[in-house]
Amino acid sequence: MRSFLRTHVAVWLLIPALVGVAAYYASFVDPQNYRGYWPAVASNSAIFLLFSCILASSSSAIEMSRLQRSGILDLPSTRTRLLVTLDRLWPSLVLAFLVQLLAFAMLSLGTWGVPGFTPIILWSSFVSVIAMHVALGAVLGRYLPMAAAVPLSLVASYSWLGFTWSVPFFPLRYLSGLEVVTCCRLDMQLDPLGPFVTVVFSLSLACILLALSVLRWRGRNAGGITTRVAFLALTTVAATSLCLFIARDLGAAPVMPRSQNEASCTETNPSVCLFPEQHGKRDPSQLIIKASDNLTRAGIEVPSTVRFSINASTSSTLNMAARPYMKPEEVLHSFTSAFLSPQLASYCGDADEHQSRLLVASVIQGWLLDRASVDIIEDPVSDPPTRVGIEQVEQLSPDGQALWVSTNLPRLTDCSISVLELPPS
Amino acid sequence: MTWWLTSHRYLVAVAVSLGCVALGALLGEARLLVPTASGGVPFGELPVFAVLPLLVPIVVGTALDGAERPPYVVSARRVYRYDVLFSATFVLIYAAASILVVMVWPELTATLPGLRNLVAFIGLQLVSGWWLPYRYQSSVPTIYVFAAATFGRADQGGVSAWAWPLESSATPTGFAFAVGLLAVGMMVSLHRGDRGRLRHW
Amino acid sequence: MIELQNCTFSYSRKRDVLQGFSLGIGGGRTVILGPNGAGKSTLLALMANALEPSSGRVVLDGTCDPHASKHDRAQFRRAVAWLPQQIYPFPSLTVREQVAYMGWLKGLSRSESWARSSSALDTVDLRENSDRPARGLSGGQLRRVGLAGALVHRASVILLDEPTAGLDPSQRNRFRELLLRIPDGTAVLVSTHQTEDVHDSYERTVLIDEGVILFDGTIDQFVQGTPQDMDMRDRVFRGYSRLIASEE
Repeated sequence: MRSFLRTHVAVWLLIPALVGVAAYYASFVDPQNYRGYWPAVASNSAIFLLFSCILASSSSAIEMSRLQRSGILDLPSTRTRLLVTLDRLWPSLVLAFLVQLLAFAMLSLGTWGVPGFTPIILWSSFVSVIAMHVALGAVLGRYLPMAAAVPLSLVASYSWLGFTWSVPFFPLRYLSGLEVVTCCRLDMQLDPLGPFVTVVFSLSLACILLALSVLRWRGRNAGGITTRVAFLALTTVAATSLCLFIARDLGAAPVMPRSQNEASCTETNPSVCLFPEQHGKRDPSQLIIKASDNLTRAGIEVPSTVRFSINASTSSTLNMAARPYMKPEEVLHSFTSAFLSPQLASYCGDADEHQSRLLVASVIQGWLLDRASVDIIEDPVSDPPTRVGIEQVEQLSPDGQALWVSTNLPRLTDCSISVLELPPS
Repeated sequence: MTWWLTSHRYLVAVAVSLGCVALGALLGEARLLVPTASGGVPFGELPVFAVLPLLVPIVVGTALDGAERPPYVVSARRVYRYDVLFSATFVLIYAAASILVVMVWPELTATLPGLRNLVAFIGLQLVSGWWLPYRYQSSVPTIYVFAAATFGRADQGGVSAWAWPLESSATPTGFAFAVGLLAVGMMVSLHRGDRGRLRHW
Repeated sequence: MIELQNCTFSYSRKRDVLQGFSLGIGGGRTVILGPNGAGKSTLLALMANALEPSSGRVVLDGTCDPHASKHDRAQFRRAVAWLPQQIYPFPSLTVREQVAYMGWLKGLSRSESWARSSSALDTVDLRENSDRPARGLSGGQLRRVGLAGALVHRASVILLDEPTAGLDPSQRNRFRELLLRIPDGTAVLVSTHQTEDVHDSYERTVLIDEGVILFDGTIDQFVQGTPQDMDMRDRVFRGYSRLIASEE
């Protein structure tokens, strides 16, 4: 076993794969976007499929090419060709998954100790995607010379992972396995249907490609080759069609709102409802209550409940965007942005009108942030045009300012009524 | 020489070269989008003119590897010079076809970065021949392209200098670099000759 | 005569396959006998100039050193034909084209190699397969094609690495007959790990193991018994035992 593993090419390719993972992590990964929320950690680790799948496909292409060249598959044997092949290829699967696991471990730094878990369906999708790429490499290694199989396995793996993002047909993305990288904010969760489609498609293709790689084209047992190939082709079409059908209603990302039942609400005014990941050191509730008090003193009515949700705010519930680790300025920014609708301002009339509404929206958000940040952070608004706009509003009396903001908030998205212009400077 | 060309499957390589030029002209600036970790640099883009020309060094490498049997290794003729010229010939074929396309259809400008890339890929392949047998040489430009696509995006959304396969503008400097790389590769391969070939076979 | 002079060669830093090895092969037929891993294939590849020794040299006719100059290398290679253990035909060529191409690689002109390929195929009884794609041949037939390729350019040294490996007894006998058709004066060196391949058509037998020559003499001396010297007898016996064990 030791000498087999020592000579297996996947062992040698493990080092460059891990170097690639480390380099990518150092260059592009921002822990702020996922740290503290296990589904987000696991989902973001999917980007490292770029490295694990390339390891899987290139190593299996080389090993299958060696197997083909040695003639072992054509020798009489008590074992089936499939078993002989699997015996050769399993290190590619295991070591590629190890790369994926180590990538996940890297991303999980800073999240240990946080309640929650990674969805099992996600791990299943990783294994099935890697298995598919192992089988892809095996087919290339079986039918092409090694000089072509190795680079084409790199091209095929990388291009398949990238191609599905290049077409505007969303269900296609779920076939490759990378769609989960867009998950998730704290108030969202992974829609299991997305990775489920990935599992079904990848496992189907893995079986089909593996069968193709061990097909006997000549000899006594080669009868019905046309039937077998046709069957494999039809199964491919069927699996793809089925998966596209299942994914037909999924959007650009496999995410759905997280149930608010998971959140526990404080008995304060306003009541702040936190998800389990937000408790402890990361608890923003006191900050939100202080900001809320500041706004109330400034004359702005704050809804009685603050939640973390993608939904638009209502008169009774302020829905904030959330990440587990948010700095005070980020909490305040999210809190005050929640007073505006998600699209900020509707497109009414022409481009000039829209620009005007956007400017008012920006000034409103800046003014709210400025007022909410009193005794919390200094100079929260740095954007010069917004700063100028706020100074114009501040020429009004305090009550006048609050009235200007409160009146304009609903008008931003109501084209039937124009917004109140900024007071002249 | 006919046997040499036949054993090197030159017709397949010619067909692939011309096919790549034609397909590249049709696909133009089409790109593969490469997703990134959320919150990081926006979607990477892998243009087709960076990927398609890879098929030529792959086919050339396969042809050279397939023809390198033991009698070839101990040939009395300096056949490794022919191998270097074989690689360079496909640069000429690709260049001639690309120039023809651009002359007839001037709007198909993506043909030129594809040509630049092909020249540089063959150069990279020949340079790697100092260390690697034919069997693995074409993996070098392939890995380079995907490393460039993954790590070569500049902060302002452009492309880093070392990630030249992704660069869509076909500047004289870019062509000079590619031709220089090809020249270096040819010199390296010619200098190595047939030393140590059997170890890899 | 082709000669290895004090050659050392290794595939890795850990172990030398041949260390300070010297052997000269003249006209006539010589068999090199040894178990798997003894260094036979490496020895033949060095003689064929397919490998370079890390020290020592390989010389043809006392003066022609393939590492001395490109001219000498070309001359050396024209004189030496090598048939390795694994035979893979050149892609897309027929049987006759394979043989002619091998002649062309050894420096013959196209017309000359084409003309000679016919008689070379006659010698190895493959004339009727001339126009078949070489890929469709059996292992034994491919070996005969390789031998024809060695004959087409009239090499003065022919190196055959395990030419009977994988052949059944009748095919082995046939190959023995083909060896006898090689022109006199040609130095023929055959390596094998099977003692049954040692027969009286060889004028000389060399037994090697772990890169060391254990016996070098006539076939009669090898068959009748070991030399008088006690140490030599033990070494030969040990090497011979390993040879028998590897066959089993």
